[in-house]
Amino acid sequence: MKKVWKVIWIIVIVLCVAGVACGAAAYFMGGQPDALYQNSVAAPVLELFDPTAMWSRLAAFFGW
Amino acid sequence: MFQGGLEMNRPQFLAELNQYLTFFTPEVRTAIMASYTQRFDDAGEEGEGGLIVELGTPMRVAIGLKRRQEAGDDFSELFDAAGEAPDYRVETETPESLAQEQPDETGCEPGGADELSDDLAADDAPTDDAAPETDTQAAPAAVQPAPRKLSGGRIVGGVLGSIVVVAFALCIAAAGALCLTAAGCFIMAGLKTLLTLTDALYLFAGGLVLGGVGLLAVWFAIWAAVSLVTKLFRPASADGQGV
Repeated sequence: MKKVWKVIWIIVIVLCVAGVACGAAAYFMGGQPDALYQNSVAAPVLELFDPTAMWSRLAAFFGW
Repeated sequence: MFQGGLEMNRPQFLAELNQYLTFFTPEVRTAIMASYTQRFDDAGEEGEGGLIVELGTPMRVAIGLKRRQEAGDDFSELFDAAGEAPDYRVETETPESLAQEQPDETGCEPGGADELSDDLAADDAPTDDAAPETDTQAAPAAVQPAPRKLSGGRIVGGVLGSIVVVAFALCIAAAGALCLTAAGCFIMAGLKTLLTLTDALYLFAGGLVLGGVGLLAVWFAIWAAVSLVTKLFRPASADGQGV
């Protein structure tokens, strides 16, 4: 179990560091996160996984 | 000396200790057994009981020797100047039979690991003329844990607790799976929109971070469920033993 935890932690840290590096690179290249909603490919994905929209779908599913 | 209700004497102690030293090389094992045999010889019949009390159980002695080996001790002090282990023969006979057989004893040759193994194999088999051996065989058997039975109440409690733990773990795993799914979608979208590099990099960033979080959540859910369910049933098996 301990070895698996070590591997998991290494993978998670590598993924997070890579993600932060990509975000930092995009930021310093002059990119704007808000511009993603104007992207025809990214907009549907962002709307699908938007937390507010997901909560609304859950509430509608369970009838809250 | 009583060991959990079993009276132990020198042949039993040495035979049991010899059985516990299987993780040593044959040379070191022979040297250790010869060393302890010499200590019993020095103590004599009168001091035998006191020496056994001082040493403790053969298992405890073997554990201490194992720890010394793990610490890097090569037990070189047990070997003579020539670097050879002293002669030693596994003691399973009574003192009277040993005294009768002593003129004919040839001892154990250094490096005769096969002969020693054969002697041990022969000594392990039950013989009619070694009454203490039955106690020796019973002593290791007594060390083994008895079969455990679960009590009904504890089983019900364990099952109910397991249901709660599994439900909680499933919720965490579902959130982790959702994060992993979102990570996959973000990365796919990023690959499709490589023409707009900054958007792709933002999508990759979100996907990678969500992937890491999702993987952590899923594995944590699995680990927590397995660990907690195992712990729920362990005290049940310990309590059930006394029922």
